[in-house]
Amino acid sequence: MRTISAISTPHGVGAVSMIRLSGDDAIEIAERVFRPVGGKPLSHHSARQSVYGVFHDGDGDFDDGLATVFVAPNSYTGENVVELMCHGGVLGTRRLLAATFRAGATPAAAGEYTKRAFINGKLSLSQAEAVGALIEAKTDACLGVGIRQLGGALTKKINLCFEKLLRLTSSVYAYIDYPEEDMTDMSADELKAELGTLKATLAALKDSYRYGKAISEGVSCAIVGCPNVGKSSVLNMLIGEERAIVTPIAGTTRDVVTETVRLGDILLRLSDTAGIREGGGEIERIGIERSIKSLEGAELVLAVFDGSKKQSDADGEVIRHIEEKGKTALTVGLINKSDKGRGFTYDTPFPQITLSAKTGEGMEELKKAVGALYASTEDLGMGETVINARQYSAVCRALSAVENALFALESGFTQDVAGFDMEEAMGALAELDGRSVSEEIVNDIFSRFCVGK
Amino acid sequence: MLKYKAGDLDVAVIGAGHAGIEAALAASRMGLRSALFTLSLDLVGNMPCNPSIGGTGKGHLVYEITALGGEMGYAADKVMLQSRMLNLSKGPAVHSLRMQSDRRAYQGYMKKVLEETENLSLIQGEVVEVCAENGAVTGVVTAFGGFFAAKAVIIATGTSLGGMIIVGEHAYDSGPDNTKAANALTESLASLGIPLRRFKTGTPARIHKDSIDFSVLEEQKGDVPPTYFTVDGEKSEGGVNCHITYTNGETHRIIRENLHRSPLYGGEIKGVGPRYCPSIEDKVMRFADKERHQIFIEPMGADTKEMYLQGLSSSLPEEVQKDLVHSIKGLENAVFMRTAYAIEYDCTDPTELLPTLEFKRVSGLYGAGQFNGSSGYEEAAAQGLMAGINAALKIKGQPSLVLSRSESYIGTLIDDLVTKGTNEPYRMMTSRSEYRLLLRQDNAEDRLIEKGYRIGLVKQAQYDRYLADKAAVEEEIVRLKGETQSKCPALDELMIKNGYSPTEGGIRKADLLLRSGVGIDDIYALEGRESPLDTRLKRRVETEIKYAGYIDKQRREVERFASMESKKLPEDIDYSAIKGIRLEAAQKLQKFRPQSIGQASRISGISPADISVLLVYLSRYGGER
Repeated sequence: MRTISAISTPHGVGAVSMIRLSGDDAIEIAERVFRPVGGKPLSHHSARQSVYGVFHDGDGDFDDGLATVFVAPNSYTGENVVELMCHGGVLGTRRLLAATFRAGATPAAAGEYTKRAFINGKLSLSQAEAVGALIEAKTDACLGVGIRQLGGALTKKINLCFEKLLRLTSSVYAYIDYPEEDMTDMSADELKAELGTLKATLAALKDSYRYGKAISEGVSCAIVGCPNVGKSSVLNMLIGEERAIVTPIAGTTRDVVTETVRLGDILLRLSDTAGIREGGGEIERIGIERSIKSLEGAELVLAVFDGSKKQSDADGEVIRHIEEKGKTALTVGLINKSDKGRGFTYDTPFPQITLSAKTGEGMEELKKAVGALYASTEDLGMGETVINARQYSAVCRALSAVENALFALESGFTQDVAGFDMEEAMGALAELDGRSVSEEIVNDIFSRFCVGK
Repeated sequence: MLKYKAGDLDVAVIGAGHAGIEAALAASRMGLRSALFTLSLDLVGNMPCNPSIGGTGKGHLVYEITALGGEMGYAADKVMLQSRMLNLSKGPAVHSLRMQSDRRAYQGYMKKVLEETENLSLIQGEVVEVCAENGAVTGVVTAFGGFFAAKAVIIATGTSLGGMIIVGEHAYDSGPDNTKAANALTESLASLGIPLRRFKTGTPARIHKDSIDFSVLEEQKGDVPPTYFTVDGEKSEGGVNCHITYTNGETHRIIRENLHRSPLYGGEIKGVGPRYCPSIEDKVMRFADKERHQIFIEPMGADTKEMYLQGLSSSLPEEVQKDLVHSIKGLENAVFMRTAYAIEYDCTDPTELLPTLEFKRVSGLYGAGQFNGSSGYEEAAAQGLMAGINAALKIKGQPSLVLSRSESYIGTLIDDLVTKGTNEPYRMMTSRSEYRLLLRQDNAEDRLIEKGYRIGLVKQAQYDRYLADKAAVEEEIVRLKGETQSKCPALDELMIKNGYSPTEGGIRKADLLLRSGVGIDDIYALEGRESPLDTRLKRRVETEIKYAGYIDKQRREVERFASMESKKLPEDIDYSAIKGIRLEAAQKLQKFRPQSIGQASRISGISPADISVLLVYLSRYGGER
């Protein structure tokens, strides 16, 4: 069975959250998002032993916690299962969930763990009641009002893609099922052109997840720069500006403090704020090294420079590291201390703004500059933004199926094969609201084409 | 009515159309004493609509019937007038064979086969009653009072059950082609608790060949050489042409002006008609912006002047039909031989059936063909075959044979019917199968012949020939995967011709075949020899290699759903007593009584959450672990 993943603890409650992976590839997928601290791979630990380690995704490490492997058939579902325990709180947990999807897991449908447990003969009476709870969780999914509105617009957009695919697929099948009808066949070129448009729309939707995630889950933000350029005052400015402070969570094992603040639409997750704050008294070398380290997983880099001074070699080193880590496109340069009078010019490969963390001057420019980094590239209407990992996963799968269909047509495969990929794309989108694909195709053929003997 | 004991049977089949023939042949060939009852011996294997076998989706069914040991493909090959492989440019999964047939010769062939089959009696007689005791059938009674005891009864009554023909303002009791309607049986079935409903279909006019001006018509030739449904059957050469013409603005005006006289629109016809086979008045009204509709002119046989007008099915009054036909190019002087008509008939709700096609509420009673709400000769034959097989297996005390969606169009057809039901005559289409890359015409034997052989329907010679074919195909695939084509000017030329740069060195022959535009004949040309396999097997090899990636992908899909299909639901489960299940879901499940969790999940309106509740219930109350 394909490996499914879902948050198995109540939404946004409690100090610890658990994500459960179940399926043939559960252990492999867990290894892609979890690195045991001892260095010994997860699969080499014995079953049912809790292993301590670090959670990471493509953007770097973001939390630490425990992983426990259950080898089939000795698990809840009877399949290979890995339970990942991370720190509670919505954002971190969601990030871990998203990481498991990127590593190959698919979102679990309501009741799916129980279903599998049953199929594999694992379900016991005491677990029966849990199913009811799962079903309830699906219908009463409590989402913020704003997010729900966004989701509505998105659903519309996804439905439009579905309808378009339905039209194309039923056209393909109308010609296949009624080859002798007097219909102008859709040429491979027309089909390719239509699929190309669809691909662009789905790709834009996929890209919008960057923004959607930025506004719903937040982006990890690093504040870097040499000592005494004003990193901690930038931090204070951001926190002071913040209107709705989200949970500051103290880690239990390391002295890491994460704070989430809002900058315009975007949520910034600031990690190691303690480190930034205590940076003042450090010697230069340690300060820079700390900055470089924080670049690792950053989705947004605020590079702070002292505008009252000339650009130093150490500043140049910071810039060079940003370039080396490939973060140039994610960086905004903050030429700080504008309150100290006319500033010096800094030469940076990323956009820069002038501000004073002390007076708050330049705050609006900062919001604009950061917002511009996350704006959708396509001109999507307001709200047509992918904001949750489940939608993201569906859109990604649909996009890759459409790309496969295009690839099949371009490499000379016939329309029956392209039709298969197109149905797969429809299936991915249909999963969001549970439609039956093949019936829709047949119905559409009858309603649109005059076919029959 | 005074009854007399007329015979002792294992299986009684009612109706000698395409479903009844396969049912009776399967049961008797499996060693059971069978009788096939028909209203008239001159009606055996009749094609009351178009004189053709196969087509999209339907061609697949005929190949599958052949692989299971059924007869339809042999009859079609023997009486073929024209053979065309449709969808050649659309890919191997949807290649569909369609044959024009000599209608009378088809009937003659089938009647002879039936007459020569051991254990089988072909009897002219109207069955007026199906007898049952304690929820199980005991036999049938004919109109002359003959009681035939039977352990199983298969209903394959087509459009004859409660048939009514309608032409304009005229309506009368009749089966197809002005044959007797079977009216008495309806009441008997109703008294057994079988729910019945009205469906309708129609057929176009037949006109005299000499009245057609062929000089202005488009000609459509058959394939040369023709393709056949069977490997080892007798074959006709074919070589007959069809013709194409079109309706026009004048035709459409005539139809619109007389629409009030069409019973379709006047409310005369209560039955539900098929969307895939609309009448010409339906097409003109529903697709008002279409300037013309295509008409195929097909011969009814080699020895007759009757011509069939595919696309002109109608229930308009006869004089209007004549006007509209005369408005069509080439048909200006057409002489009518048979008038087009609509026909309404009794059929059952197929969700009353188990996947074996046995009624859930009457043990030993089976339904097949149009009686089950399907349409088409091929759909009927497929169901008849499966009903006959399962009736025989049940009597023999052997496990039933239910084909899955992932191994056959037949399984897809039956699962659609018994699980989803249908509100109109159901037609097979390739788009109904989610596994169509696996379900090709060319690999029907690979999918099904073992099953047909095991139950004794596939003859030893056919099976041996299949094994030889299979070995040859596998050997050739292994060879092409193993051998390297060395670099040579001819290879470079082939690569360049197909838009590739020449290879660095040699290339695996199978990899070369994966390139767009490269066919298996190119490989043989490089090897400087003729194909070692005949065309049929050569294409198999080519498809298996070229489409391997997609085929594997579908196989994985099949595996994903396998465990759901194997999870059986107990027969006596009371869905209304299950705590936590939604009322709507409980009612649906109570009505459909699905056999497996997989089948339950395909019933419309059953959600994943309902399935979960069901699974929990099962584990708690003695379901399988």
